[in-house]
Amino acid sequence: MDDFWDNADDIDSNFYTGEEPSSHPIEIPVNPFAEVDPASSQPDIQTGDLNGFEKAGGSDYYLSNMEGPEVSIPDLKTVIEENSGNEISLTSDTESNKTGDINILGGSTETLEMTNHFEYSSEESSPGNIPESEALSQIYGSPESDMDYWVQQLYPDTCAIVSQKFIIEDFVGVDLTEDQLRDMAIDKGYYTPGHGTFPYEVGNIIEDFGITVLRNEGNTFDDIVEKLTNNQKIIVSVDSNAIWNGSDSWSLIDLLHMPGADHAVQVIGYNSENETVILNDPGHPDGQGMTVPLNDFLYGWDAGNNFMVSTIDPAPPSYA
Amino acid sequence: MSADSRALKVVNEFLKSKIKFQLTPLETAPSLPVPIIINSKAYLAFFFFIGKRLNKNEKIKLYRPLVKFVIDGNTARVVNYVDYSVIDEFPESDWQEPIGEFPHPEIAEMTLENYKKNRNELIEKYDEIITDFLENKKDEQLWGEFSQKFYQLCEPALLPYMEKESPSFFERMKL
Repeated sequence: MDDFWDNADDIDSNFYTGEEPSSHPIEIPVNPFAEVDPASSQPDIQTGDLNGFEKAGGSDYYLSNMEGPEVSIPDLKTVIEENSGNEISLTSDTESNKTGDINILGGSTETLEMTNHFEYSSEESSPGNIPESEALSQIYGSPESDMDYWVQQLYPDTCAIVSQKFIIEDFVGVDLTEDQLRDMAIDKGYYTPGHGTFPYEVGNIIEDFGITVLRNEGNTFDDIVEKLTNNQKIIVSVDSNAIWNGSDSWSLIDLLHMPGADHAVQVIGYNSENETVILNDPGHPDGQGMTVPLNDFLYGWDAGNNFMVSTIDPAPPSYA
Repeated sequence: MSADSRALKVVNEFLKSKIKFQLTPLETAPSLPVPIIINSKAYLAFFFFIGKRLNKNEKIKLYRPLVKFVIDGNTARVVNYVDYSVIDEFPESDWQEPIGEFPHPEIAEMTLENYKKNRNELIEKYDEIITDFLENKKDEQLWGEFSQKFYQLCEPALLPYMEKESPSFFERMKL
C-alpha cells in the first residue's frame, strides 16, 4: 500500500482543483495598422445606413463592428423597418451603457434600451483586412465576415464538423449543409454518429477540400493572434463550461462533473483593447461572434491541451 | 479542495495527458473516477460521454459513454482503453438516445457553491477510500459519508456503466 501514491507528489494539481492555470505570456505581434494616424483616419462612428444593420441578419439586429461584446438590440429592428430607406445614426450613453439614441435623418430621435455600449461605423470591412475602425480598437482577424458562416450544430456531437464547415465555406465560397459534411465524414470514417470526432481527425474534411491544415498541441495565444493577423483560420478545443460561463462564474446547469475539453470552436478574432476573444461557437445558441474574456478562454483552452487546427494558407480575400 | 490529495494529482495528470487527449472524442467529458482493485493494486476508471444542450431552456442531455480509460492509481499510466464503437461492452445502449439529463434531481436545487463544495469533499475522500479498499477494511463512517456524496453527485444514468466496471466497489458502498 505504501507505494500507492509515491509517484504523484510533483504533479500539477491546478487543473482539477479549479485554480487558474499557469498564465500564458502574451506578446501581441505588432499591429500592422499601428502607424495609421488616428486623426486622419478616424471613421465616422456616428452615422450609418440601414444596410449596415441589415447585413447582420437574424431575428434580432446585431452590430458587429463595435466596441465591447456583441449586443442584441431587439427594438432596433422595428425602428429600422419603420424607417426603411432613411439614413440613421446612433449615439450611445457611455456612462450607463444602458441606452442609446437612434436618430432618423429628418425625423425623430428615439431612445432604445441597450444591453451594452455600442458604436456603429458605416465603413464596410474588407475581406482579409482589418477595418480601420477595428484597427483602432486593436481587433485581430476578420470576425465580422467570419460570423457570416456561423450556424448552430444540429447534433450533440458535431461541433468539430460544423467548425470545419465554417472554414470550408470561407475558403471555397459555396454553401454546404451540416448533413452534407456529416455524411461525408461518416463515409470516410472521420466520424461515427453518437461518437463525435477525435482531435487529430479534426481538419480531415477541410483537407478533402484541398485546404492544408496543421494540427498541434501546446500552442500559445501568441500563435492564435499571429494566425488571425495572417487571416489563417483556426479551430481549437475548449472546455465549454469555461467559455460559456467563465472560469469562476459557472452556473450549476452548465457544470458537468470534472473539467476537461469537450468542445470545438472557431476562433475568429481577438480584441486586445478589452481583451476578449471572438468565437464562432456552433454549440451555443448565441455562438455567432460570441465574445469571451481572454482569461476564460485561456482557462478553457488549457483544458484542451492548447490544441489548434489551423489552415496553412490565409483565406482567399474574395471569399473572406 | 485539498491540494495534497494524491488522487487528485493522479487524476489531473491523466486528464492533462497527451494520450487521453488523442484517444478521446473532442465532444466528451469525463465521469467521476471509479476505484478498482486488481491484484492488490489500485486503478481508476473513467468514462467519457457527451453532455450537450442545444436549446437555451433545456437541461443538458447526457449520452452513453463512448470510451473508457483505466489508469494506474499510482502513476496515471493508462492500462486499459476501450473505444466502445469498436468493442461495445454495452450493446443494449443506443448511441444516439439520451440516457439522462443534467442536473439530476438530487442536485437540481443545490446552489453552485454547495455543489462545488460537495464535489471537492467527495474527491478528497478518494485517498482514504482507496486505502481502506486496498487493505480490505471497511470504516463504516468513512464509506457511509463517501457513499452518500457519491450517489448524490454522480449522474444516475452513468451508474450502470460504472457498476459493471467495479462491482466490488459498489457493493462496498451499498453495505
